[in-house]
This record gives sequence, structure tokens and C-alpha cells, in this order.
Amino acid sequence: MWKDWAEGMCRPHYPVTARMVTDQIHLEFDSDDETDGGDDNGEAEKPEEALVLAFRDDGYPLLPAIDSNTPLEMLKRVLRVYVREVRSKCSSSGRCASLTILISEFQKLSGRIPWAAIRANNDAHIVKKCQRTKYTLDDPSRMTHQAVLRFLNHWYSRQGDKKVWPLKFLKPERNAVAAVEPESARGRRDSTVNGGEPQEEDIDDKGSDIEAHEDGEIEVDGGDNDNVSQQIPVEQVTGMGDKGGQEKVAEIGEVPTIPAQVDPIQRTRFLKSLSNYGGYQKLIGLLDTADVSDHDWLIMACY
Amino acid sequence: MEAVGRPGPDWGHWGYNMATLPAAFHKRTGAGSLGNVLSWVKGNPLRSFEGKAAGYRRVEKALLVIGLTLREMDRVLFTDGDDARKLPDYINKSLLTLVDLDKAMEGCNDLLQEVGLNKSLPEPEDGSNTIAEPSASRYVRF
Repeated sequence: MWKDWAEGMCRPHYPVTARMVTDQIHLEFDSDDETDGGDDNGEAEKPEEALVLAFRDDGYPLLPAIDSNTPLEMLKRVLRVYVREVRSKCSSSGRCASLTILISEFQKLSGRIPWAAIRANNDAHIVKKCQRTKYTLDDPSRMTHQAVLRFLNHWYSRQGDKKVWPLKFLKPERNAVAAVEPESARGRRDSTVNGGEPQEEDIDDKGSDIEAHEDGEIEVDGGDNDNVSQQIPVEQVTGMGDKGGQEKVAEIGEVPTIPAQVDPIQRTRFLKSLSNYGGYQKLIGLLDTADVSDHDWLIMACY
Repeated sequence: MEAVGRPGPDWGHWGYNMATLPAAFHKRTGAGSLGNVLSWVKGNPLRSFEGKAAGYRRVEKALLVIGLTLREMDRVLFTDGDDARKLPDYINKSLLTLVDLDKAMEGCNDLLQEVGLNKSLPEPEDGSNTIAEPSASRYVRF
């Protein structure tokens, strides 16, 4: 199903109902398993990857409408797949080529979703207005029904209003790449990627506003001071080998200097911090496309 | 089981528990030396195995070895003053030179070429289309 994106194919546009998504899920199951009778209630355990979201014209994934009657399992799968789709979108379109170097954890696009990093720092990964004050975005398997529901409902309603996308890697290039890209190159990229149209984010992040919600949660938007580049300075995430880079890395957590002390989720950051030699940094880009499988364990054991 | 490439240095794993590489790295030859690393890189640790490209773990390990090597050489060649006094004696007395660093970077570039990434490697002196490298210029020319 990922191939469709790469070939520029789009699925039905929103508004998307839960029913439509359910249909798509079964469609996908059917294609995977011809023996399936197609009975909604007769579905056995299906692989999570089979869940398919709808997409906007430009390929961005869209959340389906959900409500409190939607089963928890489905909610969690929607959340998980949505995050994965967004990462995949960034990867398949090639839009974020430079960001794969700049944003360490999110840009292991074909690898695991860095839930631990997300849990540890929602601010770094979710647009402020898309956070929930009472809940933390985490691995869906660790979230309560209420928490998942709150996030999805909130993001869905914003999606309908064409507001800023909830996850920062959806539209990071306008801000983060700007810091390292020449003006001319930025202009070219913007015109090719967005067709010269203003981005939704532009609509949303002008000025500050405060939103109160039925559930008592309050959103405070920092307005123009609340953009991605200010929340995640480029230097903060690159973790370059120079001292300046290391100091900034410290702002979001010190990267150890000893390999044995490096937490698995910090490995990419640690590797980036080892040397700022361009060829080496380029090699680190391989992590974004490397296959995460057990295949290499056999080989690793040999050398 | 089949081995891919040549044996890597004994310190090239995530369990390595030192902030600096062992004294053996600073010797010309032998297990764990820079020569060992260069030979290992030359054997292409990222080569395909049974038709499958190197997976995440293997790429990660290769990057660890190369990264630790470059960091160590950076310490040997570019650390001085108080910072140098904090380093182990064998680093301050290391015989490694810029020529060795050049070889390490050559190995890195060869590896990039092997995996097909070198084509789009930005021209360093150009300065455009590259990530911010405030201090990388010292690596470019000798």
C-alpha cells in the first residue's frame, strides 16, 4: 500500500467516516487473504499494517471520524497507523531529504516509531495546539481509551478546519530547513512541493490564541513565536560533533560519550554526535532506509 | 552462518564501556588498531548478504565503528590545552597523523560509494546543499 503514494495515487478525500475506513480495512484484508469471507464480525486477528487511511490530494493522511463507540483497539490502530503514514509520507515523497539528517528520531522513517522519545517530550513532536494537557501521547498500547480518543478527536476536528497538522514532521521543512538551506533552494522547494499555495499552517499560526474545550482542556498557542524551528532548533537535533552542537544537544538531554551508556533510542543522536565529517553524516542517512529485521542478527553474530 | 566482510575491531559494539578507544587503536597494526578499522571498512561491512541490503543493526554498527574512529582521531589531532590534559596519555602520545585521518575519511567515502550515496555528496567547498558544518572545513583540505 505504500507504493501507491510513491506513484502519486490518492485515496478518497475527507470527510472520511469510520465506515469508509472500516471498508478499506476489509478491502485490504481481502487482498491479503483470499480465504476471508469478508464478514465484519468474523475477522480474526489481522496485521496492524492492513489498516489504511484516506489521503488528501497531496498525499497527506487523513484521520477518520471516530467516536466513543469506536473500539479501543481500532482507535489505537488508527493512531499508530496515522503516525506511521505521516512518517512514510515524509520519506516516500523525498520532501524531507535534508530533515532526515536534521531530525534524528522521527526520521528513521522506515524504522520503529520512537514512542519513548515522543512520550518523553510531546512538545518536540506535537504541535502545541494539538497536544492535550491532561494526556500524553505515547505508544498507543500504553494509552487509555480516553487518551487516544481525545487526541484523535481533537486532531480530526482540526483537520476538518484545515488547521495545522498535529505532528511536527508533517510540515517541518518550512522552518527547520530554512536554517540550513540557501534562500534560492528554499524557494525552489516550496514552489515544487506546495505548488505555490499557502500552507495551512500559515492560516493557523498568525498571532496567539487561546482555545477552551468542553473537556476543560485549554490550548494556548504561542502564535508567531510558536513555530517548529523555535521549538526544535536545528542545532538541538543535529547533535554535531562540535562543542556548540553538544551544548545544544544537552538542552534536550545529554548524549553520553560511552557507547554502553547510550539508550537505544538515543543511538542515532549519539552516532551523529561522533563526527561532523560530511561523508560520515551522509552515511548516517542510511539508517533512514535500512531494513529493521532480524536478518542481520545472524550476520552480526559472525563479526 | 556466513560472515560478511572482515573482522571488525573488538571495541566496535554498543557494549563498549570507555569514553575513548583503547591504546591498541593508536598502534599501526593489530586487532582494534586503525589499520584494523581501515581493513574492515575496505571489506565493505555494508555489503549485501544473500541479496538483501544491510539491515538497520549492521548499518548502526558500521556507523558506530566509523564514528568512534573519527571522534578518536579528532581528539588526537585537534585537542590541545586543558582538554588534552584530560585525555589518557596514550592519546596525547598517539602517532596518528592527518594522513591517517585522510585515510579514514577515504574509507568513509569509499563506503558511501559502495552503497551508492556518494553521487549526491555535496561539494564541501561549495557550501550549498549541505548540512551545517561549522567546523568541518578543517577536514576538507590538507
